[in-house]
Amino acid sequence: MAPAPRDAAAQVLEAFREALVREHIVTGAGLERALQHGRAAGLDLQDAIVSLGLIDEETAYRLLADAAHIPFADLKTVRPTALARHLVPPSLLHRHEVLPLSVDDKAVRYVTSKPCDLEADRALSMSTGRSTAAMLACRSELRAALADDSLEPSQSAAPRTNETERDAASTRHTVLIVDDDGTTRGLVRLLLERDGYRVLEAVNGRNAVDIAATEKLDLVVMDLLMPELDGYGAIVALRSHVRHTTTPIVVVTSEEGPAVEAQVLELGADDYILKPFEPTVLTSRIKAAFRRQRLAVSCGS
Amino acid sequence: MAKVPHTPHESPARWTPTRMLARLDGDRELAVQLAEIFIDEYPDMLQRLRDAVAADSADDVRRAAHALKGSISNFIDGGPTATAYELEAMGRTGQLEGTPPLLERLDRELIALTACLREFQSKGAGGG
Repeated sequence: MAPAPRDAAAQVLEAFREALVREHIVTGAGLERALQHGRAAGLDLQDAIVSLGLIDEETAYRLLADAAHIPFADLKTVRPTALARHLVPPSLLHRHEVLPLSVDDKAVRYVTSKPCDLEADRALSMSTGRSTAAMLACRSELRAALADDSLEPSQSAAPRTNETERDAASTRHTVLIVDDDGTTRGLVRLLLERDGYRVLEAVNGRNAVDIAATEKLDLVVMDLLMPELDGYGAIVALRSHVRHTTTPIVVVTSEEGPAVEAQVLELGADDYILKPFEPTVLTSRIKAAFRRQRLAVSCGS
Repeated sequence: MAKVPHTPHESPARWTPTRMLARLDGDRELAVQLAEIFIDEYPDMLQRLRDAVAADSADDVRRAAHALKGSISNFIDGGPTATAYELEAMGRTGQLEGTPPLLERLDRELIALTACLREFQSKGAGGG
Protein backbone atom coordinates (compact mmCIF):
# COMPACT_ATOMS: atom_id res chain seq x y z
CA MET A 1 0.00 0.00 0.00
CA ALA A 2 1.31 3.47 -0.86
CA PRO A 3 2.39 5.54 2.14
CA ALA A 4 0.19 8.44 3.23
CA PRO A 5 1.25 11.71 1.59
CA ARG A 6 2.75 13.13 4.77
CA ASP A 7 4.75 9.96 5.29
CA ALA A 8 5.79 10.02 1.66
CA ALA A 9 7.07 13.60 2.03
CA ALA A 10 8.92 12.63 5.20
CA GLN A 11 10.46 9.70 3.35
CA VAL A 12 11.62 11.97 0.54
CA LEU A 13 13.15 14.36 3.05
CA GLU A 14 14.81 11.52 4.93
CA ALA A 15 16.27 10.11 1.71
CA PHE A 16 17.43 13.60 0.77
CA ARG A 17 19.19 14.09 4.11
CA GLU A 18 20.86 10.72 3.77
CA ALA A 19 22.05 11.64 0.29
CA LEU A 20 23.49 14.92 1.54
CA VAL A 21 25.54 13.08 4.14
CA ARG A 22 26.42 10.20 1.82
CA GLU A 23 27.64 12.64 -0.86
CA HIS A 24 29.70 14.44 1.82
CA ILE A 25 27.85 17.67 1.19
CA VAL A 26 27.10 18.10 4.88
CA THR A 27 28.09 16.37 8.06
CA GLY A 28 25.56 15.68 10.79
CA ALA A 29 26.31 19.04 12.41
CA GLY A 30 26.14 20.79 9.04
CA LEU A 31 22.75 19.26 8.39
CA GLU A 32 21.47 20.50 11.72
CA ARG A 33 22.79 23.98 10.95
CA ALA A 34 21.05 23.95 7.55
CA LEU A 35 17.79 22.86 9.12
CA GLN A 36 17.99 25.65 11.69
CA HIS A 37 18.78 28.14 8.97
CA GLY A 38 15.88 26.86 6.90
CA ARG A 39 13.48 27.15 9.81
CA ALA A 40 14.63 30.69 10.59
CA ALA A 41 14.47 31.81 6.97
CA GLY A 42 11.34 29.87 6.05
CA LEU A 43 13.21 27.78 3.50
CA ASP A 44 12.93 24.14 2.57
CA LEU A 45 16.09 22.15 3.33
CA GLN A 46 17.36 22.14 -0.25
CA ASP A 47 17.03 25.91 -0.47
CA ALA A 48 18.62 26.34 2.94
CA ILE A 49 21.76 24.41 1.98
CA VAL A 50 21.98 26.33 -1.29
CA SER A 51 21.60 29.58 0.59
CA LEU A 52 24.41 28.54 2.97
CA GLY A 53 26.66 27.93 -0.04
CA LEU A 54 27.04 24.23 0.73
CA ILE A 55 25.82 23.09 -2.65
CA ASP A 56 24.73 24.54 -5.96
CA GLU A 57 21.05 24.70 -6.74
CA GLU A 58 21.06 22.14 -9.55
CA THR A 59 22.84 19.52 -7.45
CA ALA A 60 20.44 20.14 -4.57
CA TYR A 61 17.40 19.59 -6.74
CA ARG A 62 18.98 16.65 -8.51
CA LEU A 63 19.45 14.92 -5.16
CA LEU A 64 15.95 15.85 -4.09
CA ALA A 65 14.50 14.46 -7.31
CA ASP A 66 16.50 11.24 -6.78
CA ALA A 67 15.11 11.04 -3.27
CA ALA A 68 11.59 11.29 -4.70
CA HIS A 69 12.37 8.79 -7.49
CA ILE A 70 11.58 11.39 -10.12
CA PRO A 71 13.76 11.91 -13.21
CA PHE A 72 15.57 15.19 -12.75
CA ALA A 73 14.59 16.11 -16.30
CA ASP A 74 11.01 16.37 -15.12
CA LEU A 75 12.00 19.21 -12.83
CA LYS A 76 14.66 20.87 -14.85
CA THR A 77 13.64 20.82 -18.45
CA VAL A 78 10.25 19.24 -18.99
CA ARG A 79 7.19 21.39 -19.19
CA PRO A 80 4.29 20.42 -16.95
CA THR A 81 2.23 19.20 -19.84
CA ALA A 82 5.06 16.89 -20.77
CA LEU A 83 5.17 15.65 -17.21
CA ALA A 84 1.45 15.22 -17.33
CA ARG A 85 1.83 13.06 -20.41
CA HIS A 86 3.55 10.57 -18.17
CA LEU A 87 0.75 10.74 -15.69
CA VAL A 88 -2.48 10.82 -17.61
CA PRO A 89 -3.73 9.23 -20.81
CA PRO A 90 -2.86 11.13 -23.98
CA SER A 91 -6.53 11.24 -24.87
CA LEU A 92 -7.09 13.53 -21.92
CA LEU A 93 -4.23 15.89 -22.56
CA HIS A 94 -5.55 17.33 -25.77
CA ARG A 95 -3.93 20.11 -27.63
CA HIS A 96 -3.66 22.61 -24.85
CA GLU A 97 -2.18 22.81 -21.42
CA VAL A 98 -4.36 20.97 -18.99
CA LEU A 99 -3.13 18.98 -16.08
CA PRO A 100 -6.10 17.14 -14.65
CA LEU A 101 -4.02 15.75 -11.81
CA SER A 102 -2.76 18.04 -9.17
CA VAL A 103 -3.06 18.85 -5.53
CA ASP A 104 -5.75 21.45 -5.75
CA ASP A 105 -7.31 24.02 -8.04
CA LYS A 106 -4.69 26.61 -7.27
CA ALA A 107 -1.93 24.23 -8.17
CA VAL A 108 -3.67 23.17 -11.34
CA ARG A 109 -3.92 26.77 -12.48
CA TYR A 110 -0.29 27.33 -11.67
CA VAL A 111 0.98 24.20 -13.33
CA THR A 112 -1.05 24.79 -16.42
CA SER A 113 0.40 28.24 -16.93
CA LYS A 114 4.05 27.96 -15.91
CA PRO A 115 7.02 25.98 -17.12
CA CYS A 116 7.98 23.27 -14.70
CA ASP A 117 11.44 24.42 -13.78
CA LEU A 118 12.92 24.84 -10.36
CA GLU A 119 11.20 28.18 -9.92
CA ALA A 120 7.89 26.63 -10.83
CA ASP A 121 8.27 23.88 -8.30
CA ARG A 122 9.19 26.37 -5.65
CA ALA A 123 6.26 28.62 -6.50
CA LEU A 124 3.95 25.62 -6.65
CA SER A 125 5.17 24.65 -3.22
CA MET A 126 4.52 28.17 -1.93
CA SER A 127 1.12 28.48 -3.57
CA THR A 128 -0.08 25.28 -1.99
CA GLY A 129 1.62 25.80 1.36
CA ARG A 130 3.35 22.47 1.01
CA SER A 131 7.06 21.73 1.10
CA THR A 132 8.86 20.99 -2.13
CA ALA A 133 9.57 17.53 -0.76
CA ALA A 134 5.84 17.03 -0.32
CA MET A 135 5.20 18.20 -3.86
CA LEU A 136 7.77 15.81 -5.20
CA ALA A 137 6.46 12.99 -3.07
CA CYS A 138 3.05 13.65 -4.56
CA ARG A 139 4.42 13.50 -8.09
CA SER A 140 6.35 10.38 -7.30
CA GLU A 141 3.28 8.74 -5.84
CA LEU A 142 1.16 9.66 -8.84
CA ARG A 143 3.75 8.33 -11.20
CA ALA A 144 4.01 5.02 -9.35
CA ALA A 145 0.26 4.64 -9.03
CA LEU A 146 -0.34 5.33 -12.68
CA ALA A 147 2.49 3.08 -13.77
CA ASP A 148 0.77 0.25 -11.91
CA ASP A 149 -2.64 1.03 -13.23
CA SER A 150 -2.84 2.08 -16.86
CA LEU A 151 -5.49 4.66 -17.61
CA GLU A 152 -5.73 3.53 -21.21
CA PRO A 153 -7.45 0.17 -21.16
CA SER A 154 -7.84 -1.58 -24.48
CA GLN A 155 -11.15 -0.56 -25.96
CA SER A 156 -11.95 -3.98 -27.25
CA ALA A 157 -10.38 -6.08 -24.56
CA ALA A 158 -11.33 -4.16 -21.46
CA PRO A 159 -12.29 -6.70 -18.83
CA ARG A 160 -15.80 -6.59 -17.51
CA THR A 161 -16.07 -5.37 -13.96
CA ASN A 162 -16.66 -8.28 -11.63
CA GLU A 163 -19.31 -8.27 -8.94
CA THR A 164 -16.88 -7.64 -6.11
CA GLU A 165 -15.42 -4.61 -7.82
CA ARG A 166 -18.89 -3.28 -8.53
CA ASP A 167 -19.91 -3.64 -4.93
CA ALA A 168 -16.73 -2.20 -3.49
CA ALA A 169 -16.05 0.60 -5.93
CA SER A 170 -19.29 1.85 -7.30
CA THR A 171 -22.33 1.51 -5.12
CA ARG A 172 -21.53 4.57 -3.10
CA HIS A 173 -21.11 6.75 -6.20
CA THR A 174 -23.93 8.78 -7.65
CA VAL A 175 -23.68 9.78 -11.31
CA LEU A 176 -25.88 12.41 -12.91
CA ILE A 177 -26.53 11.95 -16.65
CA VAL A 178 -27.46 15.20 -18.38
CA ASP A 179 -28.77 14.78 -21.92
CA ASP A 180 -31.90 15.72 -23.82
CA ASP A 181 -31.47 12.56 -25.90
CA GLY A 182 -33.37 9.85 -24.07
CA THR A 183 -31.61 7.03 -25.92
CA THR A 184 -28.19 8.17 -24.80
CA ARG A 185 -29.46 8.73 -21.26
CA GLY A 186 -30.88 5.21 -21.31
CA LEU A 187 -27.70 3.66 -22.66
CA VAL A 188 -25.50 5.45 -20.13
CA ARG A 189 -27.88 4.48 -17.35
CA LEU A 190 -27.77 0.80 -18.37
CA LEU A 191 -23.98 0.82 -18.46
CA LEU A 192 -23.53 2.60 -15.15
CA GLU A 193 -26.16 0.63 -13.29
CA ARG A 194 -24.46 -2.54 -14.46
CA ASP A 195 -21.34 -1.28 -12.76
CA GLY A 196 -23.26 -0.56 -9.58
CA TYR A 197 -23.53 3.21 -9.74
CA ARG A 198 -26.58 5.09 -8.52
CA VAL A 199 -27.84 7.03 -11.52
CA LEU A 200 -29.83 10.26 -11.74
CA GLU A 201 -31.03 11.87 -14.96
CA ALA A 202 -31.50 15.45 -16.11
CA VAL A 203 -32.98 16.45 -19.46
CA ASN A 204 -31.11 19.75 -19.80
CA GLY A 205 -28.54 21.94 -18.05
CA ARG A 206 -31.10 23.82 -15.95
CA ASN A 207 -32.53 20.56 -14.68
CA ALA A 208 -28.97 19.38 -13.88
CA VAL A 209 -28.13 22.52 -11.89
CA ASP A 210 -31.34 22.14 -9.88
CA ILE A 211 -30.55 18.52 -9.09
CA ALA A 212 -26.94 19.39 -8.21
CA ALA A 213 -28.16 21.93 -5.66
CA THR A 214 -29.82 19.24 -3.58
CA GLU A 215 -28.07 15.97 -4.41
CA LYS A 216 -24.59 14.80 -3.57
CA LEU A 217 -23.09 13.97 -6.95
CA ASP A 218 -19.87 12.05 -7.46
CA LEU A 219 -19.66 12.49 -11.23
CA VAL A 220 -21.60 14.17 -14.02
CA VAL A 221 -21.96 12.91 -17.60
CA MET A 222 -22.82 16.03 -19.60
CA ASP A 223 -24.15 16.59 -23.11
CA LEU A 224 -23.55 20.02 -24.66
CA LEU A 225 -26.34 21.07 -26.99
CA MET A 226 -29.53 21.09 -24.92
CA PRO A 227 -32.56 23.36 -24.53
CA GLU A 228 -33.00 25.88 -21.69
CA LEU A 229 -29.41 25.71 -20.44
CA ASP A 230 -26.77 24.02 -22.55
CA GLY A 231 -23.86 21.94 -21.30
CA TYR A 232 -21.39 24.85 -21.46
CA GLY A 233 -23.56 26.91 -19.13
CA ALA A 234 -24.23 23.96 -16.88
CA ILE A 235 -20.50 23.24 -16.47
CA VAL A 236 -19.88 26.85 -15.46
CA ALA A 237 -22.82 26.77 -13.05
CA LEU A 238 -21.67 23.50 -11.48
CA ARG A 239 -18.10 24.69 -11.11
CA SER A 240 -19.26 27.83 -9.34
CA HIS A 241 -21.21 25.74 -6.86
CA VAL A 242 -19.16 25.06 -3.76
CA ARG A 243 -20.24 21.40 -3.68
CA HIS A 244 -19.15 20.73 -7.21
CA THR A 245 -15.89 22.56 -7.76
CA THR A 246 -14.11 19.23 -8.10
CA THR A 247 -16.91 16.85 -9.07
CA PRO A 248 -15.64 15.12 -12.22
CA ILE A 249 -17.56 16.17 -15.34
CA VAL A 250 -17.32 13.95 -18.41
CA VAL A 251 -18.70 15.59 -21.53
CA VAL A 252 -20.38 13.17 -23.95
CA THR A 253 -21.41 14.94 -27.12
CA SER A 254 -21.62 14.77 -30.88
CA GLU A 255 -20.22 18.31 -31.06
CA GLU A 256 -16.87 17.55 -32.60
CA GLY A 257 -13.63 19.44 -32.95
CA PRO A 258 -10.60 20.60 -31.01
CA ALA A 259 -12.20 23.98 -30.32
CA VAL A 260 -15.21 22.35 -28.63
CA GLU A 261 -12.98 20.01 -26.70
CA ALA A 262 -10.68 22.82 -25.62
CA GLN A 263 -13.59 25.01 -24.58
CA VAL A 264 -15.29 22.45 -22.36
CA LEU A 265 -12.00 21.55 -20.70
CA GLU A 266 -11.24 25.22 -20.13
CA LEU A 267 -14.66 25.64 -18.55
CA GLY A 268 -13.88 22.89 -16.07
CA ALA A 269 -14.86 19.57 -17.63
CA ASP A 270 -12.49 16.69 -16.95
CA ASP A 271 -12.94 14.61 -20.06
CA TYR A 272 -14.56 14.68 -23.49
CA ILE A 273 -16.05 11.72 -25.36
CA LEU A 274 -17.58 11.86 -28.80
CA LYS A 275 -20.92 10.22 -29.62
CA PRO A 276 -21.58 7.54 -30.60
CA PHE A 277 -19.21 6.12 -28.03
CA GLU A 278 -18.12 2.60 -27.30
CA PRO A 279 -19.52 1.51 -23.94
CA THR A 280 -16.16 0.26 -22.69
CA VAL A 281 -14.63 3.64 -23.49
CA LEU A 282 -17.25 5.47 -21.46
CA THR A 283 -17.08 3.17 -18.45
CA SER A 284 -13.28 3.11 -18.52
CA ARG A 285 -13.09 6.89 -18.68
CA ILE A 286 -15.51 7.19 -15.79
CA LYS A 287 -13.46 4.78 -13.71
CA ALA A 288 -10.34 6.73 -14.64
CA ALA A 289 -12.00 9.99 -13.58
CA PHE A 290 -12.80 8.50 -10.18
CA ARG A 291 -9.27 7.11 -9.91
CA ARG A 292 -7.72 10.49 -10.70
CA GLN A 293 -9.96 12.16 -8.17
CA ARG A 294 -8.92 9.66 -5.50
CA LEU A 295 -5.26 10.28 -6.29
CA ALA A 296 -5.69 14.03 -6.26
CA VAL A 297 -7.49 13.89 -2.93
CA SER A 298 -4.86 11.56 -1.56
CA CYS A 299 -2.02 13.83 -2.67
CA GLY A 300 -3.74 16.99 -1.56
CA SER A 301 -4.79 15.85 1.87
CA MET B 1 -18.91 21.70 -35.33
CA ALA B 2 -21.18 18.70 -35.50
CA LYS B 3 -20.03 15.29 -36.57
CA VAL B 4 -20.70 14.55 -40.23
CA PRO B 5 -22.07 11.06 -40.83
CA HIS B 6 -19.70 8.99 -42.90
CA THR B 7 -22.16 7.12 -45.10
CA PRO B 8 -25.04 9.44 -45.87
CA HIS B 9 -26.76 7.08 -48.29
CA GLU B 10 -26.83 4.04 -46.10
CA SER B 11 -30.34 2.67 -46.20
CA PRO B 12 -32.15 1.98 -42.93
CA ALA B 13 -34.19 -0.68 -44.74
CA ARG B 14 -31.05 -2.76 -45.12
CA TRP B 15 -29.97 -2.22 -41.55
CA THR B 16 -28.20 -5.11 -39.85
CA PRO B 17 -27.04 -5.23 -36.24
CA THR B 18 -23.45 -6.11 -37.17
CA ARG B 19 -21.94 -2.67 -36.69
CA MET B 20 -23.93 -1.90 -33.57
CA LEU B 21 -23.00 -5.24 -32.03
CA ALA B 22 -19.34 -4.67 -32.84
CA ARG B 23 -19.48 -1.30 -31.10
CA LEU B 24 -21.21 -2.88 -28.11
CA ASP B 25 -18.53 -5.56 -27.86
CA GLY B 26 -20.96 -8.21 -29.09
CA ASP B 27 -23.24 -7.56 -26.12
CA ARG B 28 -26.56 -8.61 -27.65
CA GLU B 29 -28.52 -8.10 -24.44
CA LEU B 30 -27.37 -4.49 -24.25
CA ALA B 31 -28.15 -4.01 -27.95
CA VAL B 32 -31.70 -5.28 -27.47
CA GLN B 33 -32.20 -2.99 -24.48
CA LEU B 34 -30.81 -0.05 -26.43
CA ALA B 35 -33.19 -0.74 -29.33
CA GLU B 36 -36.06 -0.88 -26.86
CA ILE B 37 -35.12 2.49 -25.38
CA PHE B 38 -34.82 4.06 -28.82
CA ILE B 39 -38.19 2.72 -29.98
CA ASP B 40 -39.73 4.23 -26.84
CA GLU B 41 -37.91 7.54 -27.04
CA TYR B 42 -37.72 8.52 -30.68
CA PRO B 43 -41.40 9.44 -31.26
CA ASP B 44 -41.16 12.24 -28.67
CA MET B 45 -37.87 13.43 -30.08
CA LEU B 46 -39.28 13.44 -33.60
CA GLN B 47 -42.31 15.34 -32.35
CA ARG B 48 -40.03 17.94 -30.79
CA LEU B 49 -38.42 18.37 -34.18
CA ARG B 50 -41.78 18.62 -35.94
CA ASP B 51 -42.89 21.26 -33.43
CA ALA B 52 -39.69 23.21 -33.98
CA VAL B 53 -40.16 23.10 -37.76
CA ALA B 54 -43.82 24.14 -37.39
CA ALA B 55 -42.79 27.02 -35.14
CA ASP B 56 -40.12 28.03 -37.67
CA SER B 57 -37.61 28.20 -34.83
CA ALA B 58 -34.14 27.62 -36.25
CA ASP B 59 -32.52 27.20 -32.86
CA ASP B 60 -35.07 24.63 -31.74
CA VAL B 61 -34.74 22.78 -35.07
CA ARG B 62 -30.98 22.66 -34.59
CA ARG B 63 -31.23 21.33 -31.03
CA ALA B 64 -34.00 18.82 -31.68
CA ALA B 65 -32.31 17.48 -34.83
CA HIS B 66 -28.99 17.32 -33.01
CA ALA B 67 -30.47 15.25 -30.18
CA LEU B 68 -32.21 12.94 -32.64
CA LYS B 69 -29.02 12.56 -34.66
CA GLY B 70 -27.11 11.54 -31.50
CA SER B 71 -29.80 9.03 -30.67
CA ILE B 72 -29.99 7.45 -34.16
CA SER B 73 -26.22 7.32 -34.51
CA ASN B 74 -26.19 4.55 -31.91
CA PHE B 75 -27.60 2.30 -34.63
CA ILE B 76 -26.67 3.60 -38.03
CA ASP B 77 -24.06 5.96 -39.45
CA GLY B 78 -25.91 7.15 -42.54
CA GLY B 79 -29.57 7.25 -43.62
CA PRO B 80 -31.63 8.91 -40.88
CA THR B 81 -28.48 10.02 -39.04
CA ALA B 82 -27.44 11.91 -42.15
CA THR B 83 -30.91 13.37 -42.61
CA ALA B 84 -31.02 14.53 -39.00
CA TYR B 85 -27.61 16.05 -39.56
CA GLU B 86 -28.91 17.96 -42.59
CA LEU B 87 -31.81 19.28 -40.53
CA GLU B 88 -29.43 20.28 -37.75
CA ALA B 89 -27.29 22.14 -40.30
CA MET B 90 -30.36 23.96 -41.60
CA GLY B 91 -31.22 24.97 -38.08
CA ARG B 92 -27.70 26.22 -37.54
CA THR B 93 -27.75 28.39 -40.64
CA GLY B 94 -31.34 29.49 -40.11
CA GLN B 95 -32.31 28.29 -43.60
CA LEU B 96 -35.49 26.36 -42.83
CA GLU B 97 -37.14 26.46 -46.26
CA GLY B 98 -36.20 22.88 -47.15
CA THR B 99 -37.04 21.31 -43.81
CA PRO B 100 -40.53 19.83 -44.49
CA PRO B 101 -39.44 17.34 -47.20
CA LEU B 102 -36.41 16.39 -45.13
CA LEU B 103 -38.62 15.83 -42.13
CA GLU B 104 -40.82 13.52 -44.20
CA ARG B 105 -37.75 11.63 -45.36
CA LEU B 106 -36.53 11.31 -41.80
CA ASP B 107 -39.92 10.00 -40.75
CA ARG B 108 -39.81 7.29 -43.47
CA GLU B 109 -36.23 6.36 -42.62
CA LEU B 110 -37.06 6.02 -38.95
CA ILE B 111 -40.06 3.81 -39.71
CA ALA B 112 -37.76 1.56 -41.74
CA LEU B 113 -35.08 1.56 -39.07
CA THR B 114 -37.45 0.83 -36.22
CA ALA B 115 -38.97 -2.04 -38.21
CA CYS B 116 -35.51 -3.57 -38.43
CA LEU B 117 -34.88 -2.88 -34.76
CA ARG B 118 -38.15 -4.55 -33.81
CA GLU B 119 -37.20 -7.59 -35.82
CA PHE B 120 -33.82 -7.65 -34.11
CA GLN B 121 -35.54 -7.23 -30.76
CA SER B 122 -37.97 -10.07 -31.44
CA LYS B 123 -35.03 -12.44 -31.80
CA GLY B 124 -34.09 -11.49 -28.27
CA ALA B 125 -30.77 -11.50 -26.49
CA GLY B 126 -30.05 -15.02 -27.71
CA GLY B 127 -30.11 -13.93 -31.33
CA GLY B 128 -32.59 -16.64 -32.37
